[in-house]
Amino acid sequence: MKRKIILKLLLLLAFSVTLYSCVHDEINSSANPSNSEYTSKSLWKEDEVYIRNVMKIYLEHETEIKKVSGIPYWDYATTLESYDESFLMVPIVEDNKVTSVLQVPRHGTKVYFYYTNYKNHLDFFQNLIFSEYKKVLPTEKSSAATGKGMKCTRTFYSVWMPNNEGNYNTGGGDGHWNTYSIVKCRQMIDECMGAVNEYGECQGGGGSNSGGGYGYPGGGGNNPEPPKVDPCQKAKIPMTQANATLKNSASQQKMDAVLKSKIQNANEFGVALGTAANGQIEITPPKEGTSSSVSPPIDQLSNPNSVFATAHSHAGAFGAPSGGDMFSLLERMIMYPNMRYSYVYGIANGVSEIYALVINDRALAADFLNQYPRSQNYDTVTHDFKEGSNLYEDFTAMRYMYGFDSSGNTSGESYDKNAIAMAHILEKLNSGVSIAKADVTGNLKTINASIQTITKPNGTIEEKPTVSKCP
Amino acid sequence: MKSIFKKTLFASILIICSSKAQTTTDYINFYNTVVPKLKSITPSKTQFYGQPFSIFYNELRNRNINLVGLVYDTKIKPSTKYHVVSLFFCDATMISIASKNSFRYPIINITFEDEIPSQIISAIEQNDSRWNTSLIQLFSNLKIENIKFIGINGYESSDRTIK
Repeated sequence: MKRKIILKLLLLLAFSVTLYSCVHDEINSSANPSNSEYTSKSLWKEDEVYIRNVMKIYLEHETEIKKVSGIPYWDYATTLESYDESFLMVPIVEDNKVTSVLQVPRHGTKVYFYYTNYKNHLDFFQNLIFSEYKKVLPTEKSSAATGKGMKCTRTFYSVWMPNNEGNYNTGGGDGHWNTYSIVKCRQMIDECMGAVNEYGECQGGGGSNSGGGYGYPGGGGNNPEPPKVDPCQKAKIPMTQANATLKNSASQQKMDAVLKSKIQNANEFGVALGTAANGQIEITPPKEGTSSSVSPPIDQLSNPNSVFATAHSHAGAFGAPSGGDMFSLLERMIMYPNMRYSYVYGIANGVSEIYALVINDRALAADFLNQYPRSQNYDTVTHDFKEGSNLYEDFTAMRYMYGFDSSGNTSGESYDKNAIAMAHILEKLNSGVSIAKADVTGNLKTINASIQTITKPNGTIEEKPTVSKCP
Repeated sequence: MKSIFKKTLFASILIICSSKAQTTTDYINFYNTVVPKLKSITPSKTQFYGQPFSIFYNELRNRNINLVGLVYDTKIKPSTKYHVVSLFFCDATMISIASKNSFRYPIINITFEDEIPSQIISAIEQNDSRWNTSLIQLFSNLKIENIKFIGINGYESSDRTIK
């Protein structure tokens, strides 16, 4: 009897061990996705060619690349709707928790590995991997909230969260959907856990060999590196045209000379520029406003709908356009089909100066205004960005950062901090608008302002404002 | 010799520590430390109106709120008369982290009754927007017209109400 019981217990033990082994194998196979097999468990269509190629490179160079503990869950890698072998993100998991995200962009024939730990990225993958019930929501493509003119893609999905444990009647029981999203912007490389090179690019394990990065098979095949948006190239034609208008003899006489003579006046003056029936530039007589505003007399043009520019003087103040000037240009652009320039005259240290806001992409500019409307971002009292608003935040951040360190200004020009901050938000938010200042020769030159992550000679990593002007 | 070795070791440790990049987590910790202290002042902020800046500054110090930097501004644009300062409680790198993550960052905007003297503007420029003891003296007698607390409703809050 006793022997039978022992035998039964042994059988039970053997069965338990077998069962445990099966379960363990299953767990291992799903929880150890860094092996050479890849089966997409993503909710979206992925660029599997890129994922497989990057995975192969990673496995070959893991000891060099790996900078954090945890395992890459390649099955959950996502290329976030890019299919040109250019970018992926893969979650790094340790003890069932997503602890960081490995991002792998391709630049030409090389791929670069860097680790980030954005909270929203971690939440996104944590729930994507470990939540049982999920549904995909439409992807949102945004032309705003970008850096350096790159478009961002926001990918959404929802996870069913039961209010009571065990109640998994998806969508119908006692519970709710939680929505998670992730944004892909190539410039969001600020939480790098590895080294950052002299160009502000995070090397994060990607690059001690061959000047950084790892060779990508085929160099991206038929998919070369996506072209970078050059802010100077983007603004070149519109800025050339804005300069041509500024240098036009009629403009020099009726706009430039007139407004330069008003910059020390107690009030602002404004003119409107349109196209006359004979095709020549038509410029209104100057209209006097108050000490801090003027509405250029567009209605005095023979055909107000032909207006393509306004110009005004600041009363004894710098020429840097205010937030109000920016909104006025954008709103007039919506009202008038040809509107594209706003010239602003001012005085700095006793010398006249000219700034200009120039529309370089009407569709982007309309999107920008739609996303950051005057009603939410403008203060009618200060004539500037409303304190605490979206635009105020970015504007003031740049003013502060440039005050901290202005050594990144390689333009050779002395710009008003407000103009630099304006250039920063226009560029960062892909506004379709450029800001320029006339140089000593009187030519308008686009101002570029952005924030770069740099490594100082002593090894410290800093966020540095960089300012330049286009040729 | 031993002393030099110790000093070198200490300096090396300092360099290694200071080389650590500030992260989003650092920013969130900073925000969650400073903002509750700022919030505790908002109900009584009007008591500082018409008073010299030094009294408000002492209140900040009493609550262990450290100023790190500042920028000056005009009441209205365009103008060359500066009446406003924005006080910051972290350095530029932290502000960049906030900006890149679309986080709110806390600042106090103080409008002074009188124009900020050019001597103070020059001092701010010379100090690269960093707060220091010489600025405390320069600002001490300027009378406050109003105080606004910005970005203190949560680092991810969509509530942009000014307190």
